[in-house]
This record gives sequence, C-alpha cells and structure tokens, in this order.
Amino acid sequence: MGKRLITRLVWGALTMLGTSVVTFSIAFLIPGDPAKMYAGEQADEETVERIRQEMGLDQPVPVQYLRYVGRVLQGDLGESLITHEPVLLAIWRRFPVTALLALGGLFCWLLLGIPAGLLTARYRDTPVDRTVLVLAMIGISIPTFWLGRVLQYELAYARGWFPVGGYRGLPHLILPCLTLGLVGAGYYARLVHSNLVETLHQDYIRTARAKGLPEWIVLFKHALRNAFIPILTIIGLDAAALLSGVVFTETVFALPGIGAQAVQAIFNLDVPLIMGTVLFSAGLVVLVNLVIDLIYPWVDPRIKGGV
Amino acid sequence: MKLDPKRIFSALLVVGLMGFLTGGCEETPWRARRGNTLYLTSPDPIRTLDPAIGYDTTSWTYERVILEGLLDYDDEANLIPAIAESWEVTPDGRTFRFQLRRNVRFTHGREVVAEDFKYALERILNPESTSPGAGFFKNIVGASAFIDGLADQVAGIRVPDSHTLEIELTQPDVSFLNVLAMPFAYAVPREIVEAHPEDVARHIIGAGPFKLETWHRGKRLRLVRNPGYYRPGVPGVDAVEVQIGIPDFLSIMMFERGEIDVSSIPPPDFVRITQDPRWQPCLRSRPQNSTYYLSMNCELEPFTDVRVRRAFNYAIDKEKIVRLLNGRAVPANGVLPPGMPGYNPHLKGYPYDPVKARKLLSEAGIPEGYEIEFVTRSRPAEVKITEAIQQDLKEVGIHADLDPVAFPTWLDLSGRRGRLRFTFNAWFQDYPDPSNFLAVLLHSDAIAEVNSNNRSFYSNPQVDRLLDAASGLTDPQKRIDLYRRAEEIAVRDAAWVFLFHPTDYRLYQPWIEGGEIHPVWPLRLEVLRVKGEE
Repeated sequence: MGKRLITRLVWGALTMLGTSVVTFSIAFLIPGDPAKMYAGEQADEETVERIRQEMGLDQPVPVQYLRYVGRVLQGDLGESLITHEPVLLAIWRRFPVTALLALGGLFCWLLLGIPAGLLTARYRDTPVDRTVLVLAMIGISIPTFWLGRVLQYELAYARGWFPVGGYRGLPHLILPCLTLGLVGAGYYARLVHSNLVETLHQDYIRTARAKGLPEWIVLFKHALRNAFIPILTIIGLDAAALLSGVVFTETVFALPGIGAQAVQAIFNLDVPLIMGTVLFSAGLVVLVNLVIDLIYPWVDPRIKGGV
Repeated sequence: MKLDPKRIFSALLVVGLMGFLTGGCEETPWRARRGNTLYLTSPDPIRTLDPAIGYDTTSWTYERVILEGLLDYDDEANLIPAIAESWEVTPDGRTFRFQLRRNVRFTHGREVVAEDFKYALERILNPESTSPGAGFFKNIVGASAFIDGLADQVAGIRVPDSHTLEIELTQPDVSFLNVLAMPFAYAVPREIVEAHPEDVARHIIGAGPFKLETWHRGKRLRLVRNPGYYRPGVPGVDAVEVQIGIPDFLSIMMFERGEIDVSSIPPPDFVRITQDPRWQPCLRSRPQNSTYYLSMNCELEPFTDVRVRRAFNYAIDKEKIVRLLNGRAVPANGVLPPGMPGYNPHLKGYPYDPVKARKLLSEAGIPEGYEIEFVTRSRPAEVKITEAIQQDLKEVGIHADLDPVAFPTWLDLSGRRGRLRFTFNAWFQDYPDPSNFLAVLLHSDAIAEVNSNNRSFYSNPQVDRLLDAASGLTDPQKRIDLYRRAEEIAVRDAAWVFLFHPTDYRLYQPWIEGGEIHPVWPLRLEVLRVKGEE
C-alpha cells in the first residue's frame, strides 16, 4: 500500500513537471509581449522596456523557466501580470466557486445518471429503456456552452426563475450546476446501464434472485456495487473533463471561478496565471485519482494494494 | 415497509433539489432594488486601483472616484478646479503653479497637502513602481535624473508651502494640465503606500467621493460614500456594488431583468434594444473620442508611394462600415474625433471613389491582383469590418490576405518597425487635447523600433515642426490652428486610411438620474442618483 502510494506520488509529480514544461513553452511560442500587455496599449516604448526589465522578461526563456520552477518549489507561483495579485491567492480566492460548481455538477451527474442507468438496465428493451437512452444520447451530444445558453435564456432571462449570471450567492449556481450535470448525466446513464446489464447476467445475480431476494436488494446490494468499480475509475478520469466543463460553464454564466479566470488569463497572455492554473488543475486531477485509488479497496475488497 | 428503488430515488432527487434551492434563499435576492445603491457590472476585471498602475478605462472609472486630483473636467470637457482651487501658467508655458483647497481630507482623516501630489508624481517616475504612466511626466525638469537614480527627488516639482505646488517642465506644453487630470497624478497618502508596498491597490485611500469597502478581485467591488467629501451633495448614492467579469451579452440580459442599473449594448442586441420603445427613454449616446484607422507602413512598399496610400483611402467605403456597425459610428475624414478640441468639420478627407482609386493605383504601377497581407485583430466585431474592407479592396484589384491574430499578438506586431505593412488600429484619447492624437501618433518622434505608437511610421518634417510649435503655445486658438494645419497635411499625405469614430451607447434604468455619457470619463459614478432616494 505504502509503496503504491509513493509510486503514485512520483508519477503525479512527473505529470505536473511535464505539464509545466509544455504550458510554459506554449505560452512563449505564442507571439505577443506580456510587458506591453501589462503596460497597456497606449504606453510609450521606454516605459514598456523598463517594465520588461523589472519583470525579468528580457531573460532567455529557459532561464525564465528555471527561475519559475525554483520559485514554485518554494511555494511561490508568482504574480499575475495584469492584476499584480499573487497567483496562488488569485486561484485560491476563486476556487470555492469552482469547487461548488464542480461538486454540484458531479452531484447532478450521479443523481440523474445512476437512476437512469438502473432504470434502463432493469427494464431493458422496453420503451422506458429506449426513451431514457435516447435522452442520454442527446445529453452526451449537447455542447455545454450551448445548453448553458439555452437554459440561461429560457429559465433565467425569459422567465426570471433564476439569476441570469454572475455570482452573488447560491441561487446563482443552480443553472450552472444543472448545465454541467445534464451533459454528464447522459454519459453516466450509459455507463451504469452497460455495466449493470453485464452484471445482471452473472450467475450470482441469478442465485440471488433464486434465493428469493427482493429485486431492489439484488439491484443495489449485489449488482450496483459490482458495477460501481469501473464507474469509480471513470469518475477519476472525468475529474479533468469536469474541470474543462467548468471552464465553459463559468464563462457562459460569468461565474468568478478559476475556469473563467483562466480564459481571461489566456486572452491577456498572463503567463504566471496561466501556468498557475494549469499546475493547480493538474495537481487536482492527480489528487482525485489518488483518492480514487485509495477508495478502490473499500469498494472492492478483492483489491488489496496488489494492483 | 417495502422500499421501492424508484421511490428512494425520487425522494433523494426532491430532497437534493429542495436543499439546493432553499440553501440560497436567505441570500440577497438577485432582482429586487434596494435603497440608495447603484448596481453595476464590469465586463473586464478591475486590474488595479493603484493610480500609478492603472491605465485602462475600467480601472480609471473606480480610481477616479476613490482618489481626487488637482483638476477635473466639467460636462463639456473643460478643465475645472478639483483639489487645486486655482492655478496659473507662466507665459512661457513651462511652469505651473497650483493653489490647493484647504481642509480637503483623505478618508483616513489627514488633510491633503501639496507634498501628497509631489509624492504621487515621484512614485510614478520611480522605475520600481513600473508605472505605465511614466512617459507622460518625463517632461518635468529633473525627471530623467530621478529615473536614472542620479537624484533622489524631481527638481521640477516644488512645494513652497503646504498648499502650493509648482511644476516646471523642460519644454513648454499646456496640455500638461490635462496630464495632471489623469488619475496617474491623483493624490495618494505616502503612509498608506509605504505601509502596504505589496498591495497598494487593495488598501488604497484617497480623498474622492467614495471609499473602497470591499474588493474581491475578479468577483465584486463595493464602494461606499465618503461622508467627508468636500463637494456638497456628491456622490449621489450611498454605495456602488459592482459584479466583475460579466460579459456584455449577460449584462444586457441582467439589465432587462432589472438586476442591474446600467448596461452597455452588445452589437447583436443593438437593433432590438434601440427599436424597442420600452428602452427609448433609457438610452444615452455620445460620439467616443477615438479614431479607428488602417495604418499603412510608409517605410515599406507599396505604401512608400503617397498615390497608393490615397488610393486605399478612396477605395474603402466608410459609410458601408458605419452601416455594418448599425450606425454606431461616424465616418472619419481625419485624425481627430468630433468631440476633440481642434476637430475640423470642414476637413474633406477621402470620399468613396473606386474609379479614382484604380486610376491612382495604375499610375503608381500597382498591377491588377496585387496581394497584400492584412493583419487584423480576431475580435468578432472587427472581423466583420475587415472583411468589408477586403471586399472594397478587391473591387479595385487589390487582394488583401486577411490574417486575424489574437489581441496580444497584434499588439506586439503592430508596433514593430518594418514588420507589418497594413493593419487595423484604434486610438482612444488619454485626455481631450489634439496633441494626444497628432503628436502621439504622427510625430516622427513617436516612431520606435518596438512598441511604436506611430503605427504608419509616418514622418514629415513639416508636420513635426507644426506639432512642436503648437505644444509650446499657450494661446488656445493659435494652438488649435497649428494642430489643424498639421492634421491637414497628414490627411493630404494619407498617413492612414481614416475609418470611423464610434459612438458610445449605454442604457440606464428609468430610476437612475444623471446618466449622460461624459466626453472624458465614460462612467461618472459620483453624479448618478437613484430617483426617490436621498
């Protein structure tokens, strides 16, 4: 167990290092001058030049990268070129909104997806099954930003049931969570469905039924738990998908989370903030997968540190 | 009891949704109007509130009501006293002397004195502050020595007594008064800046009509009334609440639902909103002091030939572009926008005349189908305009190869000497004086290897001489005459393709008073009032 944890941690660190190299290179391959972006469109040349020196942007890119890594190892992600806000603080201040949105989205995924999957697996090849699966397919195919705009227009703008956008409290999160949730739920419905269908054909299920167990115990206690292991893996992998969904959703609803902030940072070529967000998100994905790894043995007692 | 899975799930679903919905209900409702507070949104992040750093309209909107300067503008953009009760300029136009109002106080209680302005200016010139405004103040005597670390004060900024400030320039320049009305030069208390060197913006204190209450960067900003403000009856509201990072398309929806008090109008909604009788009384507009133009690099072929530059001017139908903008602009005949002192309404410019354009091109030896790279900014509204330009050029046998690039990329490329031949540009006033367009954009001194503000790399000694002479004059009419002559030459030389001056439109809720658009400050928070609120 301990050994596996260490291996995972080392891989996580390597993943983040690789991510940082790639992002940093991309940020510098894009033509554009961060000093000029900082100084403003109308600043004169001398001023821009002085700012460039002050920020160390006149150094060769590899030197800048090594300096950056050195600072990151000391816990300093630098300052935003645009707002001068320390990057770690900028991310940390906006993370609660993103976290609430992501959790709300995940909650919708599971809350809608699992029952739908159960229903379709239980009533396989009936109209219930087909209807739900078609709905699920539609859900999977809809782009987040489009669904977000439609919900925003219909439910918030036209009917006034919800706030249109921005963030002044939890009601502002309902539509974004729903947007994120509806898109993912279809996928989970499919996933639960196909896993359950397979499981329901296993001998032990037939045995359970033959014992005269009520159908819901068969479904929940015997079938779902088994079907849940691959789903858990997918949730881990989907942490990344969730984060990217968050970017779209936050942008559509103008939520002050790290996703919308990252988009702004890219437009402004705010390299420290882009780097910080990428590292933070990569760290998050690594962490989620680590946690999922640790949960496995609990869900499936057959896995005991051996895999 | 037998548990039915369907029931369990529907119960869970209901409980979950209920919790979610009620969880937020004790929060402020998002719609109801409450008291004497102004509700706003800002599409862009508020970059800073530190006057040394801010150089964008969003930061300025808030800086200028938290802080206070020597001078401000009246409704017609004439300079008026603010903290400076009176001022005089020596006849040579080089020395400015300000008498400060007594008993103007920062919100932490201390009186504003001349030393505070000296400190603010020296802070900008200090390279450590990385102030983008430093360039505006380099003309002060002793500024260069101070920047280079050869002096520990700027010799040309003097404080004879606590309420007198004297500034001496190396070159005469009456527009320096306008420079002092920019938020860069507003008073900041030294003790506050020195107590928070890492984050001045968050702890900013000034003598303006509002003070900063909360600022969650990228999320929300709240200003509250400064009860000790020296002008009676200002500001008109008790507080200003800004949601940050709300794009235009959302802010208009929020406005229509009554969630906010002021909104801009994004292009796709423009026709619908302006034609809706419901919104007619809420609509305000004013020509913006800015000019959109195409720079033609006068140092590179084919634009070294004035005939080609003129041909491009004749070839492009500006009226069509204005129509594409739903009429939210006026065609440009010259450099200066209509709201700018010195604007010349008689300037003829270049009317749309493709026949003449063709003739000039053939005289210049430009063959049919001539290809030219046209670098543009990938903003959707601008892409539409540049496509129209491409079409017009095609009509006269020029094949413009559109190359839309991201804004930061464009910003970098467009100021590099010898790099771009032909590109799309815009200039917004820093302050309402013709020098801020003509000298900054067309003087040969404004040509630089990188970050050149002279984007056409246009150089005409005659124009330079006129601009130099004008900056030294104190007689406003004579100055304006010289600027007009310089502009006429630049137009005759076809230094740019002069495109258009946009018109600003904004919506104010019917319960808001004072929402006229100001020629210098797009949004003056201190003059807005909520009807029926004291």
